[in-house]
Amino acid sequence: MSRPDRNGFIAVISIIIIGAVLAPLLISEFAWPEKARNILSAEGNRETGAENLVSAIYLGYRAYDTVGETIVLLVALAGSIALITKAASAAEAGGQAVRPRDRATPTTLSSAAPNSAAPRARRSHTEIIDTVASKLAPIVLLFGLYVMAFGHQSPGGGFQGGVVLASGIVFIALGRREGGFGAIDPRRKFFAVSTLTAAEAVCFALLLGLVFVGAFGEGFTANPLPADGVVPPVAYIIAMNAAIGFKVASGVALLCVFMLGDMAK
Amino acid sequence: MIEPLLLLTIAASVYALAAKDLLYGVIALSASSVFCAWLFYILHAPDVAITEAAVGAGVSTLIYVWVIKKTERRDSQ
Repeated sequence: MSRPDRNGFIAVISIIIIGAVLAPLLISEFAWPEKARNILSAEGNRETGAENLVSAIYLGYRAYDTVGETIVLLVALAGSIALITKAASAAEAGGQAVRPRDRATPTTLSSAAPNSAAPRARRSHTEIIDTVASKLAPIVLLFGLYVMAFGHQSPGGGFQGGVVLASGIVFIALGRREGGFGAIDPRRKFFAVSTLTAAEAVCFALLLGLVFVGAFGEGFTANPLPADGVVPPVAYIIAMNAAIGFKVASGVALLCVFMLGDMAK
Repeated sequence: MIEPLLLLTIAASVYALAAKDLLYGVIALSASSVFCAWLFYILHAPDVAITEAAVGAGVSTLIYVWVIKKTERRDSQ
């Protein structure tokens, strides 16, 4: 069997398997479960204080799972960054052995190499990227902050806002003229790698702190604020959204900045 | 409104699979994410739409581009 034939055969088999998996859902007469939905729409807002029922679920009823998800994200990012930095340092160590051989083969290029290396590194950094990225970044950051801070009322929340914030930080890293792609200008401390690392650590500690604060009330991750207190209970959800949002933003932005810095080399 | 978006999503996905230049494939994948995000918004799941737009079209594209930069841009077949 030739290769295109085999690919077509595999495609047909996959479609049949997917159909077999989905068919019971499509032809089933069984009614959709409504009990949990009805309880949520009746009690969700009152019990958690969040108008947006998605936030009510993931920070009100299922906050423990959310903390687990955040830890998984932290481990995944830490592993990826460790791999990237290790690969980059290995390439630097190995590159010095390889580079003389590469330059020796084209004899005409080897004399021009020191001159052509610098413009080639900068050529990928065009005026369009500079202008668009630096003008768009504040808008994206503002939208990310809005999505994060109003996750209890409107669609969004910590994870969504955090990723939007991270793309804003990536725009800033792209728009910085000096130092090229993501290799952030050492004179600017804001959004530097060290700042992002610190922000990630502090926000994760803050999130764990918020989890343990609940232990003073009913239990871990339970909302400690009383329904009739001075501070409305929704403040707990806003605080958790903010901690998750900044944590996700700094983590994802850190990964992207490492990748961009690696691409610039 | 849903059917054209579904068709566009499928078209972009098929192109992403078939493209020999992997960079074009990544861009098509990102486009299919945008169509998906639009679909989610129409189907009253704006939370998922924001996530799909930010992760599918933004961050994952950057990761794929980085991987292509690290490996080969052309499909070897």
